[in-house]
Amino acid sequence: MNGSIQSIISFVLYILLFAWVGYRRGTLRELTTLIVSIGGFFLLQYSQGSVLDIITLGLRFVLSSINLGSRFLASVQAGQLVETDESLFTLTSASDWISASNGSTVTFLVWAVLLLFAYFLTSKIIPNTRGSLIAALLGIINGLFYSTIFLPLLVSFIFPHVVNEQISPSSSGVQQVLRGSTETIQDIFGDIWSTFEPQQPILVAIGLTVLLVAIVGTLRRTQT
Amino acid sequence: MVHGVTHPELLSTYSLQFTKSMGLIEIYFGTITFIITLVGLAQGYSRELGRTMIILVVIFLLLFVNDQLNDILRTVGRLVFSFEELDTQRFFLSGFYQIMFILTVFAGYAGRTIVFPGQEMRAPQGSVLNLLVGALNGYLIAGSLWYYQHVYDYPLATIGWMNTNLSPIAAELVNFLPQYMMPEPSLWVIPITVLILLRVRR
Repeated sequence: MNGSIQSIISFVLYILLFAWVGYRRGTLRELTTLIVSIGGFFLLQYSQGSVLDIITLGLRFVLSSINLGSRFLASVQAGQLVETDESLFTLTSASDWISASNGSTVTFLVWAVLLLFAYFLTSKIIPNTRGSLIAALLGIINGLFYSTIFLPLLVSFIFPHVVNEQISPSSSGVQQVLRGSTETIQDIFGDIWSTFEPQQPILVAIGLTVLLVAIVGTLRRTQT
Repeated sequence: MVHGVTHPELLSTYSLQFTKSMGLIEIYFGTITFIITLVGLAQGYSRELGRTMIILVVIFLLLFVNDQLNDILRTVGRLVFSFEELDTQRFFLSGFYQIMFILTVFAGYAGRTIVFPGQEMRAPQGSVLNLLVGALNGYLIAGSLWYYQHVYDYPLATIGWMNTNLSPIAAELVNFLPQYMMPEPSLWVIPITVLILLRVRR
């Protein structure tokens, strides 16, 4: 992210969007989603092989059909709907879509589905609570975490010509994700922070005061 | 080296070996932060806010008197304890500020403490706030102790209690110590005043 004002405004809007989502959904829903998204992601990264085994065992028939379909598609493309020896060869030698070699992609897909379910189920199961500052903060944390996962993928998808040195969750380990997360956050906040260089101490003082006032404000007055 | 030691070479070797076996400095202060965060989680944020106020006051006071007090302390160190060399003076100054800080913070945690009246939010919001205020107090306490080590060139390292080889993370974290974030003492008055007003108002 460069230091332009447009980038900063875009990022602030992105953060505000997630803060608003968090505020609307409530603390418990956001906290559950946060635990599922972060916990699920790292758990899947650590146990990639096991996850693949479970999926393979559980969905053997579906996977076989998918893999057969992929081979058939490859043979059709190779033979271009003409009966040749090459198409038969392609049918047997084409690689499977879902295999150990692209396990990271499968685990990423599992995580994405898990995340969607987390949002859907928490909205259905957990009762709606009043919006609060904490809920908004949890929403922001969720947004920041997603930004470190999705932004590199989106950039490589939308701008394939751009060499993306950021992390790619589908092809990297937990340490790279953590490093990428901290670098992304450092880049984003570093740029915003350096914009206010001369006023930084007073901003810290104001921020601390606002935080303390917000926390004191949550104390409900007792009836005397 | 600590002055007045009769076997400096022996102590130097011992210190070097001990220092090598010490963990990273950020882990040292991170552990303090973690423990205080847990205390906050156990005690509840209405109590912890009172402690935050005391910690903010002591940070302000020590920063406010720092320049004037340093001259007095140096003179006292020279006259009373015969601390002539720079290392010894640093050790003395750092020790003085840290002991003052710890004593005041301890007073805030022990005995009757300032409590913000009102009913705390229930879990999970309440627990998150407990963690948040506990972590803030942990940062302020551990950060201040680290600051008084850093600003006097880590005097504890001379007796082998600390590893002064800062890792890249530690070198970065130093910039975020409370006293570096708000170097002007007057800025600390803002949150203190607002907290006092809120305490009185409620």
